[in-house]
Amino acid sequence: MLEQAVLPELTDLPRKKRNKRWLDLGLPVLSLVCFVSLWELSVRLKLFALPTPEETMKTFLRLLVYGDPLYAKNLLQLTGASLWIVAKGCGAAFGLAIPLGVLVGANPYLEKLTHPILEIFRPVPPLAWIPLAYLMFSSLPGPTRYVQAFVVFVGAFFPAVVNTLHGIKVIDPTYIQAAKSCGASSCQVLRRVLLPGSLPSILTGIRIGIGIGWMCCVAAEFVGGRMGIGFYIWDSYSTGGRAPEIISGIIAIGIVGYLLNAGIIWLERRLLPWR
Amino acid sequence: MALTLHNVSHFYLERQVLDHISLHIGTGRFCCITGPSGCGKSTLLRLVAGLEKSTGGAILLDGAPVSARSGQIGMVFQEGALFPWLTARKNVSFGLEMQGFKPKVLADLTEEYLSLVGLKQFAEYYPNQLSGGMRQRLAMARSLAYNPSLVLMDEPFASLDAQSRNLMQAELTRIWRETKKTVVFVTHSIDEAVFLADQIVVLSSRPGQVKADIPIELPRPRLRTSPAFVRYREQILALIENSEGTNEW
Repeated sequence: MLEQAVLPELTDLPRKKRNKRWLDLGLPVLSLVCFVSLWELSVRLKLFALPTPEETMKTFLRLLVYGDPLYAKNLLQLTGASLWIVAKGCGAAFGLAIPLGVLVGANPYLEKLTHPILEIFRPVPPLAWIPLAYLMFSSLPGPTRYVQAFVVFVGAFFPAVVNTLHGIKVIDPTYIQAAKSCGASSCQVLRRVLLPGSLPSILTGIRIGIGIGWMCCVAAEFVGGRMGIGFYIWDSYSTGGRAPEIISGIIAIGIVGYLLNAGIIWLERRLLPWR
Repeated sequence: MALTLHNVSHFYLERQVLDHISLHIGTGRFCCITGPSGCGKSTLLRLVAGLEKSTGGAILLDGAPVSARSGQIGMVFQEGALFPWLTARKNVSFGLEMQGFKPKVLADLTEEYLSLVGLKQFAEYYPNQLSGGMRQRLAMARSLAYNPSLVLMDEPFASLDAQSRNLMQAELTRIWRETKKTVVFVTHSIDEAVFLADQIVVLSSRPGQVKADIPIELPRPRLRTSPAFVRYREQILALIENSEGTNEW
């Protein structure tokens, strides 16, 4: 009886698997198709003054391959310039935030000491720093570059420091005791227990930090400078509402953001095989 | 290595957890410490391990004070406390690395202790890929590999099901006889204590005091159903039930 009841399910298994693979691939495609159809529909019904998906796609490909003659730059160069700023801002942010998070997480006194500063500045939107940043860097040649990197820095710093700190604090104290019972010194506990134990949180902080850094960079480029994808979409608007160019820029920002996130997730899988 | 506790008292905040604990455990002996919840069994173990400092009294290993850094002590925790980010092999070699063993010796000893606990085929597995019993065997291997003379175990089998638990007790008895360590084993289970121990220390609760120190003179391997085994169980159960705080049992 029992075997008979189980058998049909077993034979069903390959079909179910095939169905699942089809859905895994089909549903994302379906969602894109729906989105583009709605877009097309809203243009035809004249709901918004937007270019059609087709027109936009052509512009996007033209910008990707030939670039925009007004700026003599293609989409890769424009996003590349923004990415370089994100790299500088995030590099500085993580270089400071991760060691700080480890120290503060491991030391309750340091935590009390830094808590008010962190909690007052954390809720401030990174873009609110832009005017002050221009004043701070006004004596340097080309202050805009510094301002943009600084805004990215502020955006990436807090998620990284908060996640690192949290990652250290939630490590099961038994792991530390276990290491000490094996004869580990404080330095060894830090290197062999606290760091690997908090690595998942640190990577989460990096992933969120890069995501916010990328957003901050685009926004900071609206305000000043002659380079980058944020500047490009703002300038395309200012020079006469070039909607296909603006949407192409938005799509490029979205794709880069997606790829950055996917890259860190890939890195997480590589670095955390035990999860 | 013989362990001697002389008038060990301990306070946590304002409350006294341990009250003048004195006991002696001879070299190579297996001692089980049992008692009602809150009798300070685990605290006592952490004091012996040198993870905490006692408020008063002396803890001596062959007449000298203990320190966690010396490599004289191996400790097995309730949930194993294996490092989830390290493979089985790396978990075993962790203690050896902390004790500064040379790479060649370290690799040999790691393999030796993986085999001792029967996990050689699982060397590249991460702890979360192993069963509860395997994890506890791995935890034993980690704390035995660097050859401590005293092994402290804090309810290591508490989270296992009854069958795995019996198997692990037999396994531990075998390993103990092969490695000839002095063992201090904290447990809630009277059955477990009588099965494993040469000596059972019963603590009373709040604050923990030595209520009884009973030598167990049963031949090994032990049979849980033998009349002598059952008599020991009854004797210890009576001691614990008579102690204060029985409502928790």
